[in-house]
Amino acid sequence: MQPVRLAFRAMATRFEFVLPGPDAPSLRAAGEEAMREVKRIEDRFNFYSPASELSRLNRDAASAPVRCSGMMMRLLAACRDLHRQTGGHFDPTVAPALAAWGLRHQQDAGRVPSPEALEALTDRIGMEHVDIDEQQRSVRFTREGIQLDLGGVAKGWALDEARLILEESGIECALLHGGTSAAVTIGTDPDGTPWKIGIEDPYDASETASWLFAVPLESGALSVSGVRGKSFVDASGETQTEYGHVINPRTGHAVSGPRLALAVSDSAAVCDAWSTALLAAPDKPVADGVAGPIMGTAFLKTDSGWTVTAGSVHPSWTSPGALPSFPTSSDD
Amino acid sequence: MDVTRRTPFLSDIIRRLTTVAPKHLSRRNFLKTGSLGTLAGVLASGERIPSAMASALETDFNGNPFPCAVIGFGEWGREIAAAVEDIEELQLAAICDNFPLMLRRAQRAHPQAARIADYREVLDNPDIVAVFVATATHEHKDIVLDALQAGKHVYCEAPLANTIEDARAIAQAGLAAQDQIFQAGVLYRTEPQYRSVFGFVRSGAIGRPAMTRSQWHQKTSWRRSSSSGERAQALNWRLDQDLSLGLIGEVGIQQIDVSSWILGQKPKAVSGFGGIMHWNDGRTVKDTIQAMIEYPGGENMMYDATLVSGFDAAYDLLFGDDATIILRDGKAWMFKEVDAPMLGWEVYARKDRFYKETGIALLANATKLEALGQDPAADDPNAKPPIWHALKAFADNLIYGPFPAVAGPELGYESTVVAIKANEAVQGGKRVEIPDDLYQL
Repeated sequence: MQPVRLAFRAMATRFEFVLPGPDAPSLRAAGEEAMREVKRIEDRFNFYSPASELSRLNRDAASAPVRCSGMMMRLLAACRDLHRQTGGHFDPTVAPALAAWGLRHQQDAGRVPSPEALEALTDRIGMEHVDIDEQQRSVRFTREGIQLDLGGVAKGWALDEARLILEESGIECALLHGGTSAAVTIGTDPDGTPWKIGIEDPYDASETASWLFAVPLESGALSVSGVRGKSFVDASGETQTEYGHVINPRTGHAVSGPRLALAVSDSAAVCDAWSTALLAAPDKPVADGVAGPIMGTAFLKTDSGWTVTAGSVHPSWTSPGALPSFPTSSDD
Repeated sequence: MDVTRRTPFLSDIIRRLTTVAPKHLSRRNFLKTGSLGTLAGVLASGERIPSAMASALETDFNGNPFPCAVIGFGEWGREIAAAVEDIEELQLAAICDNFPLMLRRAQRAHPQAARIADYREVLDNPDIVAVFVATATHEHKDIVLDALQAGKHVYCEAPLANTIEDARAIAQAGLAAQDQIFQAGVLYRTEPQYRSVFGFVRSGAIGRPAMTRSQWHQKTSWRRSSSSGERAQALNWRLDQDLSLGLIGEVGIQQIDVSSWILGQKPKAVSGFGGIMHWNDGRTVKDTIQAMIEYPGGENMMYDATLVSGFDAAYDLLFGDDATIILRDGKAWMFKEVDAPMLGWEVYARKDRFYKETGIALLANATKLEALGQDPAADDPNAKPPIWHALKAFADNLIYGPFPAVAGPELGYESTVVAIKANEAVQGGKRVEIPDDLYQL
């Protein structure tokens, strides 16, 4: 029996829900409801739509407290916690830096900003300048120039909400992904084994390219962040450097080099934030138990292949070929 | 402009505008209403005009938002709750649904609102001044009547009911509650772009209206799911022809009302067709429908809706002998006939290409926005969905009224009559007349 598949565009990417099971009309109905929730979230948190709740916040919150929806308050509170847990390496206020690096829009060509421009950015980045008043249900920016961009977490958040809706509809088996960089699963695949999420090598464009490894995921979430993709190559120096669209909030620098970061946990939003943070700070270990068990691993590709710069490779991660000599974590 | 040629059309509209039954108004409300004939229109015409313009008027609003409750937290109830949350003068105090799952969702989306399973508990709460009824159509009557009896102001989704008897009972109760607001969820009467186009057409800009055409296309099953079979059956009332008014009644009611409003006439007959073309899953409601709505003036409206194809989504077209207007996604464009007289301003207006046609963008409040230093052609940073404008009109009525709602009991009833008869035509594949006396309350 073919699973019900729903695919749609949201948050500038393609979402897909795979829903195996015998009752196709009910599965589709549940999937549609989850899809509408993703679109509602997109509308609310859209940085580019001038009429979105986020844009209104960005426009007005430096002047006065802005009353926010319950969902916005929940997400911003989560962002504040994730900002703290990642030591500030996940920060949804990096929008001015992305603009300075020419990485704001898909069509931007990218550029390396001057040291002066980078220096000026430091005043305009920092989640600590976002004052969240849960009692009054309002948000205020304590400094001019702050801009919230929830792109680093909204996709995962939307997948988490979609999963909740599917679970509430009684669905016990599902795979959901957003743009193939974030995924959540419900239960196991129809065979009763954990869903397997393949992590590809973004630098291997050969026709014979295979997975770097596959991560088994039973009722869990996963997110991958990389430099390759929305990036540009700066050839002005002696060597060519590729800069990606993830910013280190501490320095305002775009992350460079052939890097990849992966986070696995119960929540796609948490994974989204942690994989971003790990890319920004690739030597930062992930503390288990910070917000539920998190496994985060950062990779760097060298001449001899991929190496791990933080975290470890779990023994359950399988590879179609010989895995490079990654350090592995204890099998817990 | 050929005024004589337009006279019958304009007179119909003027008669309609002046025959709204007045609410009984207390002296306090009468005094307030003296400045409100225009205020109702100004407030409902869009918040791109700064709200400070209205703040100088007399009001009981002292900065404390009015506690309100949403009854029914399905798809549309969620849209209403989100809109309420986004209106400064309203406080989403409670969400009511007899399905525990919906209350869990309410907790996630609106943690500050109380969650209540029984609507009578909402009505017993003296702090709650208004309720928004968004349950299944056939469940509206008891809730609305009880709410009005309990002294609450009521916003009831359209259609008001799935039978003429229930719709009439609701509308009569709304009329009888003289110091309470009753507003029907007929959305576009308060939507700024539609109001702007309404005035534009009234000024004769499209010439003599010839016909209208609307569509609503979406690829979706229209089904709701639940882990409980019994609950799933209740949630899927839309798919049951005994409870639902189908696509034309549950969705098309809004677009047919636009046509009737702008033409200034009530439909006299509907011919309907339809079938289950894709979602053959046991439903008895058709997933693809077409209808022709006839007006006394000879203009017809063509309407089609489908759950099978999302192509070209939804829009409304108003054809006149001088120009045609299309409304879609909160925007409007006018396409002039070659022999149409010049209006003067169109040479300065923004124009957009549509294949081989050039549309003149019609922008609500363009002149006022320019005076305020805003670019009318830019994307509106304060754009809101139609439901927001409907609820804002309701909130303004709470603050400054009660005055007769733009979409009051009569309009709610009339549009529901059309929805019921149109659905009858579609389900039966036949022509159904709507006698004029059926519109009488």
